[in-house]
Amino acid sequence: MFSTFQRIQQYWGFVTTVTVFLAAAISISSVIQEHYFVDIPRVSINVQSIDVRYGKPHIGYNYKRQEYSLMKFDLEADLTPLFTWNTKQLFVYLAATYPGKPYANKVVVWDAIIRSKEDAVLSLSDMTADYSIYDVTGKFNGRNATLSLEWNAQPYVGLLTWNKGSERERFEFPQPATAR
Amino acid sequence: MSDLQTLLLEGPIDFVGQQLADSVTLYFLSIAGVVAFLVGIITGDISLTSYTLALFVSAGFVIVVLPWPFYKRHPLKWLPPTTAKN
Repeated sequence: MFSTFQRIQQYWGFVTTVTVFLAAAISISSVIQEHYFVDIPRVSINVQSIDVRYGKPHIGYNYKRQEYSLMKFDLEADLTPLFTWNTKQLFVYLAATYPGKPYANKVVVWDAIIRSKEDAVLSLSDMTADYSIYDVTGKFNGRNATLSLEWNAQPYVGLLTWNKGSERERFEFPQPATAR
Repeated sequence: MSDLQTLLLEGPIDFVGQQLADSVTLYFLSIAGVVAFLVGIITGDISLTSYTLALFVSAGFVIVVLPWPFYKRHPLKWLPPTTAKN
């Protein structure tokens, strides 16, 4: 620490150390906060209508017509408690899960990015899904599905966390409108 | 080099002053980190954490890096010059 430049180097070196420890403290504290002090928000999902139609696949060389499913839904959710002091934004999505072979299917039908606490109260009615569902077999065969709201909390400092609402809405894929 | 250049660029301080500058760095910045964390968690605004830290870091920079008189209170006492015996 004899000369000015030695002091600058030593001082700045300790500044970086303090910054790293501060970031670690913020990260750990927000994990604890989310785990113990934030209640999982209440969500209510209601499938208004679900429409299954035939269509041509828009990818690949398979020209066989297959079933596409597009739904309308209501969604009520208050996600404001998820905004802690370290939350930058939330990625919220409605996921439909239904059985399949060899693995069960999980398809996102609607999503949104919530950037502030003021926008975190979701109240959607008769909303058309962003994405249609199509199955790998090309047919739904009247399978049962469940719809749930899931989210990915993105912090300023720390790790991404995934969680989901406890509410599930069950629905059944109808037979296609024009069976051919 | 002129005296001003020596003072600002070289900025020599004595041994006790070096130890003091080291302790000031350690304690000042540790306290800055704790205060910045508390400010953020109490106000619920993470940008205040970084502003608080930036404020402390700039203040500490002035305190530690410049050769203040309190770093020069214990100058080395050199032995008196002796003439070599023939």
